[in-house]
Amino acid sequence: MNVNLFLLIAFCIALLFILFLVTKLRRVRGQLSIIEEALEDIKTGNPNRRVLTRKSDMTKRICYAVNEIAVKNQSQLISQKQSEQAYKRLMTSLSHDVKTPLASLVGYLEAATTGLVAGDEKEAYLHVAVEKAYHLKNFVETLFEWVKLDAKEQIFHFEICDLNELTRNIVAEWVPTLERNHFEYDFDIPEDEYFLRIDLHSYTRILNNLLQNTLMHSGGNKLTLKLLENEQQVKIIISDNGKGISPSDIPHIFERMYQCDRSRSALGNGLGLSITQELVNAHNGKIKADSKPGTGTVFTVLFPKAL
Amino acid sequence: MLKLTQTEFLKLRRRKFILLMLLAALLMPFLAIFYFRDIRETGIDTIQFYKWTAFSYTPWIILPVVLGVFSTMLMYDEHQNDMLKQLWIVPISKTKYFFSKFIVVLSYSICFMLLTAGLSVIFGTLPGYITFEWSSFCYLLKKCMEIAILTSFAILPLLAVAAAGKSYIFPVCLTLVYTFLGFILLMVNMYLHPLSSMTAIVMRDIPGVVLTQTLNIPAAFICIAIWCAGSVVLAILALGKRK
Amino acid sequence: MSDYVIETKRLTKNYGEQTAVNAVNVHVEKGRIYGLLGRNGAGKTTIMKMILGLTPITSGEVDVFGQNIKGREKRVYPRIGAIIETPGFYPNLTGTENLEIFARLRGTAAPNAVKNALDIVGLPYRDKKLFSKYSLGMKQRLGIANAILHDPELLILDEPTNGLDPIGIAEVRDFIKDLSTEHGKTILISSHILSEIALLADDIGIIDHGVLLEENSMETLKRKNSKYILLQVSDIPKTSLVLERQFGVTDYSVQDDHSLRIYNTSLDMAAVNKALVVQDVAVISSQLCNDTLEDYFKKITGGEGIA
Repeated sequence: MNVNLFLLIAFCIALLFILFLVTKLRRVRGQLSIIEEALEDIKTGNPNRRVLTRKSDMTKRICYAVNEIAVKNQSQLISQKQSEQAYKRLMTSLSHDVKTPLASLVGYLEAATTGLVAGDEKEAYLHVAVEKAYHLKNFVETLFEWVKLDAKEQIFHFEICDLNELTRNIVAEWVPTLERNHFEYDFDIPEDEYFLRIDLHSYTRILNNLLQNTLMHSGGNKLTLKLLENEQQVKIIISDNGKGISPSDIPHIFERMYQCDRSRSALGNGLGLSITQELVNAHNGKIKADSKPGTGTVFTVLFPKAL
Repeated sequence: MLKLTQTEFLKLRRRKFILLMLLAALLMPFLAIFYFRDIRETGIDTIQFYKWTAFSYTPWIILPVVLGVFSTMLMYDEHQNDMLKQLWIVPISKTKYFFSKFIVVLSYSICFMLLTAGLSVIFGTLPGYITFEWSSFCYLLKKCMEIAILTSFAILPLLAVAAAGKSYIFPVCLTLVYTFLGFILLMVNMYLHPLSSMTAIVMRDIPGVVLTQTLNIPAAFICIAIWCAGSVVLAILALGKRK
Repeated sequence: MSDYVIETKRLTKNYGEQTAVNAVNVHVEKGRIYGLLGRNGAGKTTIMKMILGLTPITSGEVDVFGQNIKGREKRVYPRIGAIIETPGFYPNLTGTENLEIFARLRGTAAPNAVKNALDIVGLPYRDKKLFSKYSLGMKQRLGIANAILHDPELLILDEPTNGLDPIGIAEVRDFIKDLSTEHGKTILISSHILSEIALLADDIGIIDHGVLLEENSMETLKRKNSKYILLQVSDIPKTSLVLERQFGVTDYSVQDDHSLRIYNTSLDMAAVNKALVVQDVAVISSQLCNDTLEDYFKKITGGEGIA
């Protein structure tokens, strides 16, 4: 009697076990079919599809992996779409920036050549036309430089230079322009030598851009440039006492085509600061701007000593 | 299904009252100390002792009430906070939901009866009323399991009512009414009320029990089965009807 | 499979004699935010419940992902995340434990989905605070976390900013916008606050007393709003005479003793001004105006405002 009971219990346990295995198998099969459906969906271009899994499922790792692939696919698609849109926007604004001065240039030249104006006035018109032509030339050159930087095609020649000596030379050239624009200046460049690996051309560009930016857009009349160093980096601080930049604009000033003063004024183009940032980044450095509206702006550029 | 039951148990965290209700298992064994004090000299039959502590008022009144209140508490949270719609869109089928709740009730019932069994033994052997024998202990366990399982099924109607309603008070009152009705109908007709049927099945082989009616085990099972089926249908319809 | 993620055909819901939703045809396109706008009690929540299958439909059809949900629950529900009315959770558990329960029931798309979801909505992970002690704002956030827990493709949000403070509302708004643009999710959101919908939605459906009054893209709606010239003058009768006799303008309406609206916006206002001055009418102001969305809403719902 006891043996029979024992056998019965053993049989029941075996049955339960088989039942358990069968359920598990069916569950995995069901999940595999869901994964198949989801993969099909993702393939036909719906990267938003996810496969859900629980922590105890056998197919857990596959599901997580499928989801990761879908997410990557999706973010690629989205960033592609975004850069396409950004590119379109850029093209539209650039075409305006070229067409406008060109149209005006043509206007002045036509007026001068068709005899609409004569004598002194004609001279004046020609002068304006030349200036506009230079401005356009500048713009197109800057644009190409920026495009090269953006496409990472710019070639840098890094060599060890004394930053202080270099800076002194650059700012010396700015003195006449600053004086002409009634700008007070204070250059605090130390006597010792700060040796750093930099690309000469880029550094010149960086300083020129920042000084130009201050001259053109700050609206102030005093410019300060200071160089400092510590163990790891060299710091260049350029500050002015102009109208400052509002806190809402600050995060965007280094974006291409961004101009704080919404009137697309004739003298600026939105690319200067953007180029500056790209060049600083190429040196593994950092640039930031702090400003208090009404008091002034401070640009800080940091170059690490070890490149 | 397994996952659902697992989460049901997780939901019981920090609900101290549920643990406290288990203390009701203490009642009968504790009272046994006083009840059997007078006759300890004449020697107490182990089975009779267990009959008093575990097979009498416990399955008739204490366990049904405890399970009824427990069922109400189980259903209350989700209904109070209008959580059901969040569960349906997981998706969780209403049938599986109801059954997972039932499994929790069943588990609770088994815990309760195991506790009763344990306490019966302790409160019996410590004061020296009875001696511990394996055979009677196995019998005690077997009977407690029967009571636990059958009572859970008998309580299914209450679980269904709790699933259908929103308030706390109505199901609890209904629990009391249901339990006492079962107790009273025991004398009249054992096969009308699930609790009475349960009693009939449990009492079938307890020595020293005199039954006034003829024992019809299949009828008892049928009675319980009908009530259960009806409750399940009612519960699923009610869960579906909620707006 | 149509391009609509959600499409309803003559969706109707009757409660006995009362019609709560009357033959509504909603079309939610993939990757866009659809705003369901209507006063409290207009039927927005009922429509959402019918879409989700939580309320039986009296007549009409709903297709989600191109098919009927009924019978395919296990495949469709995991792709939808929703908040309907106030989200409820288990009061004796912490926020994290609540989400863990749902993660266990539904499955998740990534291993630490609960932590990610809580981070996104700004709630602490593994915090000891029980749900019963949560503020209304926190409860709403937890509801949102639960809706995005499994990274669904479609989100159905019923008044998601309900109970939040202004900062919270702005955060949720940014977050919803982000879900649409950065992650390409399709979102159906309902609100009675016009400004919120106007800021968020790409498409808008206006519901009043259970009827879908209009369904259009935001751009079309903005364009549709009538433009008019608001003219403020010293003498209305003379002005109307001038407009009709000299300019042949009949498309105008008098607002009060001193102002009238001209709906013909191509009118040469310089000429009109001159003509009025000649007639000794003083022109106080003349400006080009747009009907706001609120005015438009008032117009098509028959004059009452928004709750």
